[in-house]
Amino acid sequence: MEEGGAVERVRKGDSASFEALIEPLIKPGCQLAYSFLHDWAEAEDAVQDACVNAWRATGRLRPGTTSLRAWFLTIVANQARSRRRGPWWSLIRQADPAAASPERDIQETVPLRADLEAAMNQLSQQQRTILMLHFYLDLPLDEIGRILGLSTDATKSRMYRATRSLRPAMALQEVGP
Amino acid sequence: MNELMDRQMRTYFEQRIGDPPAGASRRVLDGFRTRAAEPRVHTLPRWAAAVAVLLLAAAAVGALTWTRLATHPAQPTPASPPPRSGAAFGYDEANGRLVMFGGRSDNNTVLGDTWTWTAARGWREEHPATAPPPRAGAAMAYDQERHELVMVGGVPQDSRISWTTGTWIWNGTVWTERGAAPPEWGFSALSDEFALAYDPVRHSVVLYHRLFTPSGLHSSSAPPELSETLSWNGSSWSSPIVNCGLSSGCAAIGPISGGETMAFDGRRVLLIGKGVNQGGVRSVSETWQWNGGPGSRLQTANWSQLRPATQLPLFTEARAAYDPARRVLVVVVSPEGAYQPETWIWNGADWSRQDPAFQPPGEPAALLYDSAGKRVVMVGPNAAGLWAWDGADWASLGRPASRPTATASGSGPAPVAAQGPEPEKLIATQVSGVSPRLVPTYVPAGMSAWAVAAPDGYTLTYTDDTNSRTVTLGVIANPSELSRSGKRSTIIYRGVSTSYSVLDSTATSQRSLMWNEPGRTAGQASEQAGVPYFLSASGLTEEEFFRMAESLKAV
Repeated sequence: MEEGGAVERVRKGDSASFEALIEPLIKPGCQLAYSFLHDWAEAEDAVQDACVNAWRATGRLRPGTTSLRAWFLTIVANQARSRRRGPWWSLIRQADPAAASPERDIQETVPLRADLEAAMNQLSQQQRTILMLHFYLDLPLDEIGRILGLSTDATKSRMYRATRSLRPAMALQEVGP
Repeated sequence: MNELMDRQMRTYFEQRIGDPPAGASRRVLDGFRTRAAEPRVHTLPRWAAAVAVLLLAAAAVGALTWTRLATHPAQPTPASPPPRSGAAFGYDEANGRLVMFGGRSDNNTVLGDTWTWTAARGWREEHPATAPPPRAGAAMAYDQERHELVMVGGVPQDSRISWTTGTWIWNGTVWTERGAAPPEWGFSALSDEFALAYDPVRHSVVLYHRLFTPSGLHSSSAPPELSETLSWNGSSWSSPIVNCGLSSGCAAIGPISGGETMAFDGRRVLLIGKGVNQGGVRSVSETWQWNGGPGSRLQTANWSQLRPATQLPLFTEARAAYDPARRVLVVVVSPEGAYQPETWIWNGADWSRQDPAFQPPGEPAALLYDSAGKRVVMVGPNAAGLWAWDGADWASLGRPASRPTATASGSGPAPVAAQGPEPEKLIATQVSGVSPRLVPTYVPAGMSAWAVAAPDGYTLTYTDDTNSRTVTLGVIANPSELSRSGKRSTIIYRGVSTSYSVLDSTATSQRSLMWNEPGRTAGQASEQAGVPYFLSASGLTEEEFFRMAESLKAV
């Protein structure tokens, strides 16, 4: 499907086109929300909320918009953040990233070195999210900036600082057994 | 290293996140289809849920420590610079003015405007005959020897160019390009890893600069940890002095800092930054002193690290200004992982954290010493808001700069009817048991509304396209006990005592007002109890929030 034309149909209220464009974004959306919430059920709920909010806002998409990805992931990030923020006007449990350690059984996978793990844990949530969006979801820095509400310069800078602080751990792994 | 980084990062996130559970896409889409089919405007029984939502919101309101707030008086908006990030700030001591140049606007345009500020007249845009090309991320320092501001660096609009060149001088009237760019300037692919300060001991402007490979983040050969320091004599830059990181093993050890800021502390120029410890594995905050000297490449002892008893917390950003009246360096840092900035004082030997009653929210754009007012002045995030440090506390120097977007939206009920059934009309027709029925006549641009209405109550909710800003106005049937999170104060609003709450100190924190509006609800015998109203917002600045609050009218 030619995405620009589909976006134009979405702007005019075509729900089928909206679903067609959103469906491939649900998986990265869930992964992004999970990185905030550490709970797949919560992440799915956040993405569902984001879908509803995005659909309601489609009438105000700018003419000429060719891709929904950054816009939709921005909504997902905001939705996940507001869920993590905890009780304000909704009954949502507050995720504690430190307490809610990854659910996955690390033993089933290739073990990570403790130094990398420790270095990652020293990063801020925002830095980890930038790394995740860049290295795992393969998003360019300008798009990451739009999603997180940062300028490209600031995204670059935070990215650099994050990778720099990880470099010693990486180097240790490089020369290690 | 680059490939290793890519591989390790991918492996890390694959193990920590991986794929969503099977069927996630189907469940999300099924839920979406069901909810998208629901009408946008609801009557009962959704009302009961809406009240519960508001009561939960009320439950998040907490204890008070701030006292600065009052309702914003209606007053003409002074001329003020549009919001921006990455502007360069300096203090023109010869003319007693704070100077701002460029930055990046909300719509990502790199700016080339010059503004000056004095306490007496506020902001004023200057229109110099000559000016540098637009840039964001530049730095300024006042050259006390030559009585002029020096500006270098910054990125232009064209993203293919990684750095602007040239050294620009502001004499209070015009900008002039003088001398060449610092040697090797342009080597960096990044924009904000440098700092500039005047060194009155050596009568020169000092520039500290980290070195990166031209390819930036993804160099296949990891660059050595290097920094360079140069000085400006009024007409040219010295040869750079190159230093190596603590973990490099080289002899010329110097700072390799991130998030750095540099300032004179009354005795020498300090560089405050974030580096790694000697083992190279742990991030630490660092304080270095500049020992000066003309230096040569790889000369040692140009920088020496100070070991104060108290360290600054690890931070993402720092701003500093020397307060000669109190003989201390004032520093505001944004600790990693914290929303609340902190104010610290350097007394020449050690750090001490301050405990101001009011800490301006957000990462400040700049800290400067206002010699005309004899005080350290903080420029708020996005160049909005100015605060003065009195040695113990921050006090506002006026309203935050008005946001053009808010101004452009104007007043009037149009945003309410911007999408879907008209909430205002719904409230006027459905809510028969409440008097007065309040709706805002000002809503920040780009927000749309929907309503939940019943005969004896309603909620109006406004959101923007990305849900980053949300406002709820409603009638609460029975205000409950308030919890203790956030900060709460009592102010006079709409002529009555009102509970005002702020969840945290970020500029766009969730905030709310709860008050009993003179009037009555169905079943009340008299107007004594009033109508329990609730206005709450997330993602709005304090100014936007109060502008909205003050626009309420009865329908």
